[in-house]
Amino acid sequence: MKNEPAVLSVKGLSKSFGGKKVLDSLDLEAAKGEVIGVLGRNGTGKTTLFKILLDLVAADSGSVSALDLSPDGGGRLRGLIGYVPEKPAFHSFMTVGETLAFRAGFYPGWDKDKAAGLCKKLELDTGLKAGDLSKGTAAKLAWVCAAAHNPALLLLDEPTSGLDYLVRDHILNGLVSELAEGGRTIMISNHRMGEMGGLLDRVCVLKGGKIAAEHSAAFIKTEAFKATVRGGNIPVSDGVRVISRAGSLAEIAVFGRKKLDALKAEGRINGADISPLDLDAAFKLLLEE
Amino acid sequence: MIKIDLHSQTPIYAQIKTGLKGLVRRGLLLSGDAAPSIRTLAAQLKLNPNTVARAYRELSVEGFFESKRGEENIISSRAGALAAADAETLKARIGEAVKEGLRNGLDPADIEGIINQLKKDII
Repeated sequence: MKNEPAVLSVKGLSKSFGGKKVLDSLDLEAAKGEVIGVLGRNGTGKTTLFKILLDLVAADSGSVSALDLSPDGGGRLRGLIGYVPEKPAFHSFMTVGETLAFRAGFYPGWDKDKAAGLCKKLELDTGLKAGDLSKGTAAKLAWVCAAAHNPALLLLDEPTSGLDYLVRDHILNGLVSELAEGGRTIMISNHRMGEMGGLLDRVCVLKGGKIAAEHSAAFIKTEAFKATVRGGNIPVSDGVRVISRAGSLAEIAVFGRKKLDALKAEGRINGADISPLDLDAAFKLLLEE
Repeated sequence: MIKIDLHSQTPIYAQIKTGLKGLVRRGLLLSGDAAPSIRTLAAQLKLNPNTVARAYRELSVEGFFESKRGEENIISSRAGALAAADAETLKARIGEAVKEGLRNGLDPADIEGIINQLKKDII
Protein backbone atom coordinates (compact mmCIF):
# COMPACT_ATOMS: atom_id res chain seq x y z
CA MET A 1 0.00 0.00 0.00
CA LYS A 2 3.07 2.21 0.42
CA ASN A 3 3.39 2.90 -3.31
CA GLU A 4 -0.07 4.37 -3.63
CA PRO A 5 -0.23 8.16 -3.60
CA ALA A 6 -1.32 9.70 -0.34
CA VAL A 7 -4.98 10.63 -0.39
CA LEU A 8 -4.64 12.41 2.86
CA SER A 9 -1.61 14.08 4.33
CA VAL A 10 -1.64 15.97 7.61
CA LYS A 11 1.44 17.70 8.96
CA GLY A 12 1.98 19.50 12.24
CA LEU A 13 -1.71 20.03 12.85
CA SER A 14 -2.55 21.94 16.04
CA LYS A 15 -5.81 23.15 17.45
CA SER A 16 -6.69 24.63 20.82
CA PHE A 17 -10.06 25.36 22.31
CA GLY A 18 -9.89 28.08 24.97
CA GLY A 19 -6.32 27.32 25.96
CA LYS A 20 -6.81 23.56 25.91
CA LYS A 21 -4.59 22.00 23.29
CA VAL A 22 -6.66 19.31 21.64
CA LEU A 23 -4.40 18.57 18.70
CA ASP A 24 -0.70 19.17 19.14
CA SER A 25 1.38 18.97 15.99
CA LEU A 26 -0.32 15.88 14.64
CA ASP A 27 1.06 14.06 11.60
CA LEU A 28 -0.91 11.53 9.63
CA GLU A 29 -0.87 10.04 6.16
CA ALA A 30 -3.38 7.81 4.45
CA ALA A 31 -2.82 6.01 1.18
CA LYS A 32 -5.45 5.26 -1.41
CA GLY A 33 -7.62 2.35 -0.38
CA GLU A 34 -6.38 2.27 3.17
CA VAL A 35 -8.77 1.68 6.06
CA ILE A 36 -7.52 3.34 9.21
CA GLY A 37 -8.96 3.01 12.66
CA VAL A 38 -8.50 6.00 14.94
CA LEU A 39 -8.46 4.92 18.52
CA GLY A 40 -8.59 7.35 21.38
CA ARG A 41 -10.19 8.00 24.74
CA ASN A 42 -13.06 10.44 25.02
CA GLY A 43 -11.99 14.01 24.35
CA THR A 44 -8.67 13.21 22.67
CA GLY A 45 -9.55 15.07 19.51
CA LYS A 46 -10.87 12.44 17.14
CA THR A 47 -13.90 14.49 16.16
CA THR A 48 -11.85 17.70 16.02
CA LEU A 49 -9.45 16.04 13.60
CA PHE A 50 -12.35 14.98 11.40
CA LYS A 51 -13.89 18.43 11.53
CA ILE A 52 -10.64 20.06 10.43
CA LEU A 53 -10.33 17.61 7.55
CA LEU A 54 -13.89 18.48 6.55
CA ASP A 55 -13.16 22.19 6.66
CA LEU A 56 -15.78 22.67 9.37
CA VAL A 57 -13.25 23.91 11.89
CA ALA A 58 -10.08 25.85 11.06
CA ALA A 59 -6.79 24.59 12.43
CA ASP A 60 -4.53 26.91 14.41
CA SER A 61 -1.48 25.75 12.52
CA GLY A 62 -0.25 22.92 10.36
CA SER A 63 -1.12 21.77 6.88
CA VAL A 64 -3.78 19.44 5.54
CA SER A 65 -3.94 18.08 2.05
CA ALA A 66 -6.82 15.82 1.16
CA LEU A 67 -7.74 14.66 -2.34
CA ASP A 68 -5.35 17.31 -3.72
CA LEU A 69 -7.22 20.05 -1.93
CA SER A 70 -6.66 21.97 1.27
CA PRO A 71 -9.32 23.22 3.66
CA ASP A 72 -9.82 26.87 2.70
CA GLY A 73 -13.08 27.70 4.39
CA GLY A 74 -14.92 27.40 1.08
CA GLY A 75 -16.37 23.96 1.64
CA ARG A 76 -15.22 22.51 -1.69
CA LEU A 77 -13.44 19.72 0.16
CA ARG A 78 -16.59 18.88 2.11
CA GLY A 79 -18.39 18.03 -1.10
CA LEU A 80 -15.88 15.30 -1.86
CA ILE A 81 -15.72 13.59 1.51
CA GLY A 82 -18.28 11.18 2.88
CA TYR A 83 -18.85 11.95 6.52
CA VAL A 84 -20.85 10.07 9.12
CA PRO A 85 -20.92 12.38 12.12
CA GLU A 86 -21.00 11.22 15.67
CA LYS A 87 -24.24 13.08 16.22
CA PRO A 88 -26.05 13.36 12.91
CA ALA A 89 -28.24 16.44 12.65
CA PHE A 90 -30.84 17.13 10.01
CA HIS A 91 -33.40 19.84 9.44
CA SER A 92 -36.31 18.58 11.48
CA PHE A 93 -39.04 19.92 9.18
CA MET A 94 -37.86 17.91 6.16
CA THR A 95 -38.69 14.33 5.41
CA VAL A 96 -35.94 11.82 4.73
CA GLY A 97 -36.59 12.10 1.00
CA GLU A 98 -36.43 15.89 1.12
CA THR A 99 -33.25 15.75 3.14
CA LEU A 100 -31.62 13.60 0.50
CA ALA A 101 -32.77 15.89 -2.32
CA PHE A 102 -31.50 18.89 -0.35
CA ARG A 103 -28.12 17.32 0.33
CA ALA A 104 -27.74 16.26 -3.29
CA GLY A 105 -27.15 19.90 -4.18
CA PHE A 106 -24.00 20.08 -2.08
CA TYR A 107 -22.22 17.08 -3.51
CA PRO A 108 -21.00 17.09 -7.11
CA GLY A 109 -20.91 13.31 -7.23
CA TRP A 110 -24.38 12.66 -5.79
CA ASP A 111 -25.99 9.54 -7.23
CA LYS A 112 -29.76 9.56 -6.85
CA ASP A 113 -30.18 5.88 -7.66
CA LYS A 114 -27.50 4.93 -5.21
CA ALA A 115 -29.21 6.97 -2.48
CA ALA A 116 -32.50 5.23 -3.20
CA GLY A 117 -30.77 1.85 -3.24
CA LEU A 118 -29.08 2.51 0.08
CA CYS A 119 -32.38 3.56 1.67
CA LYS A 120 -33.87 0.29 0.56
CA LYS A 121 -30.93 -1.76 1.77
CA LEU A 122 -30.93 -0.12 5.18
CA GLU A 123 -34.73 -0.21 5.37
CA LEU A 124 -35.02 3.54 5.70
CA ASP A 125 -38.48 4.95 4.96
CA THR A 126 -38.07 8.14 2.90
CA GLY A 127 -41.41 9.47 4.08
CA LEU A 128 -40.34 9.84 7.71
CA LYS A 129 -39.89 13.30 9.20
CA ALA A 130 -36.18 13.92 9.89
CA GLY A 131 -37.08 15.50 13.23
CA ASP A 132 -38.85 12.37 14.42
CA LEU A 133 -36.08 9.89 13.64
CA SER A 134 -34.78 7.66 16.39
CA LYS A 135 -31.05 7.66 17.01
CA GLY A 136 -30.51 4.56 14.95
CA THR A 137 -32.67 5.72 12.05
CA ALA A 138 -30.90 9.08 11.98
CA ALA A 139 -27.61 7.19 11.81
CA LYS A 140 -28.94 5.26 8.81
CA LEU A 141 -29.80 8.52 7.08
CA ALA A 142 -26.32 9.82 7.83
CA TRP A 143 -24.88 6.71 6.19
CA VAL A 144 -26.95 7.21 3.08
CA CYS A 145 -25.83 10.85 2.89
CA ALA A 146 -22.20 9.84 3.33
CA ALA A 147 -22.09 7.06 0.76
CA ALA A 148 -24.50 8.28 -1.91
CA HIS A 149 -22.02 10.62 -3.60
CA ASN A 150 -19.31 7.99 -4.11
CA PRO A 151 -16.63 9.82 -2.14
CA ALA A 152 -12.99 8.81 -2.47
CA LEU A 153 -12.44 9.57 1.20
CA LEU A 154 -14.78 8.65 4.03
CA LEU A 155 -14.61 9.86 7.59
CA LEU A 156 -16.68 7.77 9.93
CA ASP A 157 -17.05 9.14 13.43
CA GLU A 158 -18.51 6.48 15.70
CA PRO A 159 -20.51 5.19 12.76
CA THR A 160 -22.23 2.31 14.49
CA SER A 161 -23.34 3.90 17.74
CA GLY A 162 -27.05 3.50 18.26
CA LEU A 163 -27.55 0.97 15.50
CA ASP A 164 -29.15 -2.37 16.22
CA TYR A 165 -27.27 -5.61 15.60
CA LEU A 166 -28.72 -6.32 12.18
CA VAL A 167 -28.13 -2.86 10.79
CA ARG A 168 -24.65 -2.73 12.30
CA ASP A 169 -23.80 -6.04 10.74
CA HIS A 170 -25.22 -4.87 7.46
CA ILE A 171 -23.19 -1.68 7.52
CA LEU A 172 -19.94 -3.20 8.70
CA ASN A 173 -19.95 -6.30 6.57
CA GLY A 174 -21.82 -4.94 3.61
CA LEU A 175 -21.32 -1.25 3.18
CA VAL A 176 -17.90 -0.66 4.67
CA SER A 177 -16.34 -3.71 3.02
CA GLU A 178 -17.85 -2.69 -0.29
CA LEU A 179 -16.46 0.82 0.11
CA ALA A 180 -13.05 -0.46 1.16
CA GLU A 181 -12.85 -2.82 -1.79
CA GLY A 182 -13.73 0.04 -4.11
CA GLY A 183 -10.34 1.58 -3.38
CA ARG A 184 -11.73 4.26 -1.12
CA THR A 185 -9.78 5.58 1.79
CA ILE A 186 -11.63 5.29 5.04
CA MET A 187 -10.91 6.67 8.49
CA ILE A 188 -13.01 5.22 11.28
CA SER A 189 -13.15 6.21 14.89
CA ASN A 190 -14.92 3.74 17.07
CA HIS A 191 -14.88 2.79 20.69
CA ARG A 192 -15.56 -0.81 19.86
CA MET A 193 -12.75 -1.56 17.47
CA GLY A 194 -13.23 -5.25 18.07
CA GLU A 195 -16.22 -5.25 15.75
CA MET A 196 -14.24 -3.46 13.05
CA GLY A 197 -11.14 -5.57 13.39
CA GLY A 198 -11.52 -7.43 10.15
CA LEU A 199 -11.80 -4.28 8.08
CA LEU A 200 -8.83 -2.29 9.26
CA ASP A 201 -5.40 -2.05 7.72
CA ARG A 202 -3.91 0.14 10.39
CA VAL A 203 -4.76 1.43 13.83
CA CYS A 204 -3.62 4.84 15.06
CA VAL A 205 -3.77 5.65 18.74
CA LEU A 206 -4.56 9.30 19.34
CA LYS A 207 -3.20 10.57 22.62
CA GLY A 208 -2.01 13.94 23.88
CA GLY A 209 -3.00 15.53 20.58
CA LYS A 210 -0.70 13.30 18.55
CA ILE A 211 -0.69 9.90 16.97
CA ALA A 212 1.02 8.24 19.90
CA ALA A 213 1.33 4.83 18.30
CA GLU A 214 0.54 3.06 15.07
CA HIS A 215 -0.01 -0.63 14.61
CA SER A 216 -0.75 -2.71 11.60
CA ALA A 217 -4.05 -4.47 12.15
CA ALA A 218 -2.58 -7.75 10.96
CA PHE A 219 -0.01 -7.58 13.73
CA ILE A 220 -2.65 -7.11 16.39
CA LYS A 221 -4.75 -9.89 14.94
CA THR A 222 -2.05 -12.54 14.65
CA GLU A 223 0.82 -11.47 16.88
CA ALA A 224 -0.86 -10.64 20.16
CA PHE A 225 -0.97 -13.33 22.80
CA LYS A 226 -2.29 -13.85 26.27
CA ALA A 227 -0.52 -15.92 28.88
CA THR A 228 -1.11 -16.80 32.49
CA VAL A 229 1.84 -16.57 34.85
CA ARG A 230 2.43 -16.41 38.59
CA GLY A 231 1.87 -12.88 39.88
CA GLY A 232 5.34 -12.68 41.40
CA ASN A 233 6.95 -13.86 38.21
CA ILE A 234 5.88 -11.36 35.57
CA PRO A 235 8.50 -11.00 32.85
CA VAL A 236 8.55 -7.20 32.79
CA SER A 237 9.86 -5.92 29.46
CA ASP A 238 8.90 -4.16 26.26
CA GLY A 239 5.93 -5.68 24.54
CA VAL A 240 4.65 -7.29 27.71
CA ARG A 241 1.67 -5.84 29.52
CA VAL A 242 -0.25 -6.98 32.57
CA ILE A 243 -3.91 -7.48 31.75
CA SER A 244 -5.19 -8.50 35.15
CA ARG A 245 -4.29 -10.09 38.42
CA ALA A 246 -6.36 -12.67 40.24
CA GLY A 247 -5.21 -14.26 43.46
CA SER A 248 -1.61 -15.31 42.96
CA LEU A 249 -2.03 -15.42 39.18
CA ALA A 250 -1.58 -12.72 36.61
CA GLU A 251 -2.61 -12.55 33.01
CA ILE A 252 -0.19 -10.87 30.66
CA ALA A 253 -0.37 -9.79 27.05
CA VAL A 254 2.64 -10.38 24.84
CA PHE A 255 2.93 -8.44 21.59
CA GLY A 256 4.96 -10.08 18.85
CA ARG A 257 5.65 -13.72 18.11
CA LYS A 258 9.41 -13.10 18.47
CA LYS A 259 8.95 -11.67 21.92
CA LEU A 260 6.86 -14.68 22.89
CA ASP A 261 9.45 -17.11 21.58
CA ALA A 262 12.19 -15.21 23.41
CA LEU A 263 10.28 -15.35 26.69
CA LYS A 264 9.68 -19.05 26.17
CA ALA A 265 13.35 -19.69 25.42
CA GLU A 266 14.41 -17.79 28.52
CA GLY A 267 12.04 -19.95 30.54
CA ARG A 268 10.21 -16.94 31.90
CA ILE A 269 6.74 -18.13 31.10
CA ASN A 270 7.08 -21.78 32.00
CA GLY A 271 3.82 -23.64 32.22
CA ALA A 272 1.91 -20.64 30.98
CA ASP A 273 -1.26 -21.27 29.10
CA ILE A 274 -0.86 -19.22 25.92
CA SER A 275 -3.72 -18.21 23.69
CA PRO A 276 -4.36 -15.50 21.10
CA LEU A 277 -5.41 -12.16 22.55
CA ASP A 278 -8.84 -11.12 21.36
CA LEU A 279 -9.12 -7.87 19.44
CA ASP A 280 -11.16 -6.00 22.00
CA ALA A 281 -8.67 -6.79 24.75
CA ALA A 282 -5.76 -5.79 22.52
CA PHE A 283 -7.34 -2.45 21.68
CA LYS A 284 -8.11 -1.82 25.32
CA LEU A 285 -4.44 -2.29 26.16
CA LEU A 286 -3.37 -0.01 23.32
CA LEU A 287 -5.70 2.68 24.62
CA GLU A 288 -4.21 2.50 28.09
CA GLU A 289 -0.72 3.03 26.73
CA MET B 1 -6.33 -18.21 32.58
CA ILE B 2 -8.58 -21.16 31.88
CA LYS B 3 -9.89 -21.90 28.42
CA ILE B 4 -13.60 -22.52 28.39
CA ASP B 5 -15.33 -24.05 25.42
CA LEU B 6 -18.94 -22.97 25.51
CA HIS B 7 -19.89 -25.47 22.82
CA SER B 8 -18.31 -28.46 24.52
CA GLN B 9 -20.40 -31.34 25.84
CA THR B 10 -18.44 -31.12 29.06
CA PRO B 11 -20.36 -28.90 31.49
CA ILE B 12 -18.73 -25.54 32.11
CA TYR B 13 -18.33 -26.09 35.86
CA ALA B 14 -16.45 -29.29 35.06
CA GLN B 15 -14.22 -27.41 32.62
CA ILE B 16 -13.45 -24.89 35.36
CA LYS B 17 -12.55 -27.69 37.79
CA THR B 18 -10.21 -29.31 35.27
CA GLY B 19 -8.79 -25.91 34.38
CA LEU B 20 -7.89 -25.10 37.97
CA LYS B 21 -6.29 -28.50 38.41
CA GLY B 22 -4.35 -27.79 35.24
CA LEU B 23 -3.03 -24.58 36.74
CA VAL B 24 -1.78 -26.59 39.72
CA ARG B 25 -0.21 -29.24 37.52
CA ARG B 26 1.65 -26.64 35.50
CA GLY B 27 2.97 -25.06 38.67
CA LEU B 28 1.15 -21.78 38.22
CA LEU B 29 -0.85 -22.30 41.39
CA LEU B 30 0.98 -23.73 44.40
CA SER B 31 -0.28 -25.16 47.64
CA GLY B 32 -1.03 -22.25 49.97
CA ASP B 33 -1.85 -19.84 47.12
CA ALA B 34 -5.17 -18.09 46.92
CA ALA B 35 -7.11 -19.10 43.84
CA PRO B 36 -8.81 -16.32 41.89
CA SER B 37 -12.00 -15.32 43.69
CA ILE B 38 -15.29 -16.58 42.29
CA ARG B 39 -16.23 -13.09 41.24
CA THR B 40 -12.90 -12.38 39.50
CA LEU B 41 -12.86 -15.66 37.63
CA ALA B 42 -16.48 -15.26 36.57
CA ALA B 43 -15.75 -11.77 35.27
CA GLN B 44 -12.64 -12.86 33.40
CA LEU B 45 -14.22 -15.86 31.77
CA LYS B 46 -17.49 -13.98 31.24
CA LEU B 47 -19.41 -16.67 33.06
CA ASN B 48 -22.22 -16.68 35.56
CA PRO B 49 -20.73 -16.51 39.09
CA ASN B 50 -23.08 -19.33 40.11
CA THR B 51 -21.37 -21.64 37.63
CA VAL B 52 -17.96 -20.79 39.03
CA ALA B 53 -19.31 -21.11 42.57
CA ARG B 54 -20.53 -24.62 41.78
CA ALA B 55 -17.07 -25.63 40.54
CA TYR B 56 -15.45 -24.14 43.65
CA ARG B 57 -17.97 -25.86 45.93
CA GLU B 58 -17.21 -29.23 44.40
CA LEU B 59 -13.48 -28.57 44.57
CA SER B 60 -13.82 -27.74 48.28
CA VAL B 61 -15.65 -31.02 48.87
CA GLU B 62 -12.91 -32.91 47.04
CA GLY B 63 -10.32 -31.25 49.28
CA PHE B 64 -8.71 -29.20 46.53
CA PHE B 65 -9.25 -26.06 48.58
CA GLU B 66 -8.48 -25.70 52.26
CA SER B 67 -11.71 -25.41 54.13
CA LYS B 68 -10.65 -23.18 57.01
CA ARG B 69 -9.43 -19.76 55.98
CA GLY B 70 -12.38 -17.41 55.72
CA GLU B 71 -13.45 -16.08 52.36
CA GLU B 72 -10.44 -16.98 50.28
CA ASN B 73 -10.07 -20.26 48.49
CA ILE B 74 -6.62 -21.53 49.41
CA ILE B 75 -5.09 -24.34 47.40
CA SER B 76 -4.63 -27.28 49.77
CA SER B 77 -1.59 -29.51 50.11
CA ARG B 78 -3.62 -32.34 48.57
CA ALA B 79 -4.37 -30.34 45.41
CA GLY B 80 -1.30 -31.58 43.55
CA ALA B 81 -2.17 -35.22 44.16
CA LEU B 82 -5.79 -34.60 43.17
CA ALA B 83 -4.72 -32.94 39.95
CA ALA B 84 -2.32 -35.80 39.20
CA ALA B 85 -5.09 -38.34 39.80
CA ASP B 86 -7.32 -36.37 37.46
CA ALA B 87 -4.62 -36.46 34.80
CA GLU B 88 -4.41 -40.26 35.13
CA THR B 89 -8.17 -40.58 34.72
CA LEU B 90 -8.05 -38.35 31.65
CA LYS B 91 -5.22 -40.37 30.15
CA ALA B 92 -7.22 -43.54 30.65
CA ARG B 93 -10.26 -41.92 29.06
CA ILE B 94 -8.26 -40.79 26.03
CA GLY B 95 -6.88 -44.32 25.68
CA GLU B 96 -10.38 -45.72 25.92
CA ALA B 97 -11.62 -43.29 23.25
CA VAL B 98 -8.76 -44.23 20.92
CA LYS B 99 -9.46 -47.96 21.41
CA GLU B 100 -13.13 -47.36 20.74
CA GLY B 101 -12.23 -45.44 17.60
CA LEU B 102 -10.05 -48.27 16.31
CA ARG B 103 -12.80 -50.75 17.05
CA ASN B 104 -15.08 -48.57 14.94
CA GLY B 105 -12.63 -48.85 12.08
CA LEU B 106 -10.97 -45.43 12.38
CA ASP B 107 -7.58 -45.32 10.75
CA PRO B 108 -4.64 -44.55 13.09
CA ALA B 109 -3.89 -41.74 10.64
CA ASP B 110 -7.35 -40.25 11.34
CA ILE B 111 -6.61 -40.28 15.04
CA GLU B 112 -3.25 -38.65 14.47
CA GLY B 113 -5.01 -36.07 12.34
CA ILE B 114 -7.33 -35.21 15.22
CA ILE B 115 -4.39 -34.85 17.56
CA ASN B 116 -2.46 -32.70 15.11
CA GLN B 117 -5.49 -30.49 14.63
CA LEU B 118 -5.70 -29.94 18.39
CA LYS B 119 -1.98 -29.30 18.58
CA LYS B 120 -2.38 -26.38 16.21
CA ASP B 121 -4.36 -24.52 18.85
CA ILE B 122 -1.47 -24.76 21.27
CA ILE B 123 0.80 -21.76 20.81
